[in-house]
Amino acid sequence: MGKYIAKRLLMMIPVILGVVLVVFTILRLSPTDPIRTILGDMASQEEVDQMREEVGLNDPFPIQFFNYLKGILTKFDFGYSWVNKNTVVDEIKNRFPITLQLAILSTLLATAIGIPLGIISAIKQYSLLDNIVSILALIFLAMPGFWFALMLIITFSLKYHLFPASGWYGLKYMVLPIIASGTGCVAGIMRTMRSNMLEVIRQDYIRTARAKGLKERTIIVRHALRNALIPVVTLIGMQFGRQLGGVFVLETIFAIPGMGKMLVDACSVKNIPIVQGGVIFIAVVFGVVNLIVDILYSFIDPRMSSQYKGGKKEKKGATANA
Amino acid sequence: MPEKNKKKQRGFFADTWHRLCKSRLAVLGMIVLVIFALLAIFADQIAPYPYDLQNLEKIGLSPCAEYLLGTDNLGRCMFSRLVYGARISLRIGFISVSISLLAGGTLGAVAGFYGGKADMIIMRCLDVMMAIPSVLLAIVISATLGTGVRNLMIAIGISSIPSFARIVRASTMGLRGQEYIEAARLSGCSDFRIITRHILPNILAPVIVQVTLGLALAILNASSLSFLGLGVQAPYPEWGSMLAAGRSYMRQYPHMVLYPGLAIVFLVLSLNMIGDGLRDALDPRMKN
Repeated sequence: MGKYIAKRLLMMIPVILGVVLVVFTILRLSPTDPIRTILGDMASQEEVDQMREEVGLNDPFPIQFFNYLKGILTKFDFGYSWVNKNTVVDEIKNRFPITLQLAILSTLLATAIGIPLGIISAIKQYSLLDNIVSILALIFLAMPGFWFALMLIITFSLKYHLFPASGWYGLKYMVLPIIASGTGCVAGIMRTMRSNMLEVIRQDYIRTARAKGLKERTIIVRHALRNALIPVVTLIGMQFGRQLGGVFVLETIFAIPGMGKMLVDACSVKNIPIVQGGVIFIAVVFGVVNLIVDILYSFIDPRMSSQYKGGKKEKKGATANA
Repeated sequence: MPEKNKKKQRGFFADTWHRLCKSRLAVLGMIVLVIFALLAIFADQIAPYPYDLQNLEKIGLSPCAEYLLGTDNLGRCMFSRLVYGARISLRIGFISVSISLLAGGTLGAVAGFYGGKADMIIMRCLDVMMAIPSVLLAIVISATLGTGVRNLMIAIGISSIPSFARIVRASTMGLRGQEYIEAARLSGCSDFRIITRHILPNILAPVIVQVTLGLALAILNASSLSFLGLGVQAPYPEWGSMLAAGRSYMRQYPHMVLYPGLAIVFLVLSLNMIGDGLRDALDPRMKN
């Protein structure tokens, strides 16, 4: 197992280096001068030139990239924000815990609702409940999360004044964002759970379990659920990983100072170091979460753990776009 | 038995169509999509007002006889703006999916067909792209290129290249060893001909499904980016940017954020339902 993890971590290194190169290149393709955007139209040309020199934008591209990479590898230095001069590392340190909180809570909510709903829908296929839940899931999958958030704000903050509409100062402020970002995931979890459960229930070993007279409850929980859960775990892991990168629009709507808002703000003012650092950080987190999900498999599905011993497991990426 | 023979005689598209029509949700989705398409095509005839015509005496009206869905904070007809918005959203969806299909499909086909070094290089590049969440990638590209419909389409198109490439690659790899491919090669077909004439028609099923669902995702992502101010800009009535504008007036004119959102939901929902229907219709396991 340890060998497998080490190997996977090693495999992440070239990918992350690739991400550094890609992000660095894209951001330098900008047709407008980012420093001009940062300093505004009022700044004189001399000021702009001076800052360009200061941050090294006048160097040739390979030198800039080499310096950036050298900073990261030798001093763990990702540069500093061009807007408030904080280092990128500090900025992420401030923002990430908030996004983490939001991601954990909304994933818990989505899992707690999505899995039971999926199971019940599958057991009682074509019942009224199944139909209602399935249609609701379809609608929620088609709904832009930010629009749902706006509707929540209109109803619960503007009309009934139950919860505040923006900010991040305590439990009361978390309710709407968690509901908004959780419901987006519920639909996916529920649908995956349902379709896998339906598939598993038709298997021979379930019929065997029925034939030997096991209680329906035992059959579902002990035999069906464990097998049907595997793809759901991947999905939850993926969604969690994606949320750790920040829920961009939701954080902007609710004015939550997390990773998503940081990146959106940085993108719109061309605060390049923050964007670079943020994207690289998210790519690392994404990779680690995927690795953890793969390790979790071996606990749910003993068939998988034998593959780790050989150290030859194919990367589980195919489910990524489900 | 005769029943079965009759089924076999239908061509791929006719057969798929027949089975697609058996799904009630898919038919509903197709009807809704056709309505949106008609709205988009005939927007000039259907919309009662130009999308940017301001009537400052009639600001923030609720739905009434004169203005079907009311007016916004500048007195523009919401209904007309939504109708023109359908045109923008569908165009963004189709063009960005074409970009990802063309680029991703080519990469996937080359990787899957040749295998070996080509496959490894392409897959490693895709790994890098997939290490960045696709919305984030689209945000970064769009912020760099600048706002505007064209840049938005490029950003969204690029960000979903990997999902198309993966599907095409996986299906191509499955066919590579087949005997009829070998036969085509022996009879002197060029690689290009084998890929376009012999492999492409056989991997159409998963690609069609991905295109439908990809369209839905592209429209959803485009509206998020426009909402963030990184996509289509005012005065163009993209639904996402209409939501962004309406957000400041949520308290006074809630209908400004209600209708554009509903429009997105209906369009994306119809595409998703068609996609789900197609997936079932094209699934070989469900043929009988």
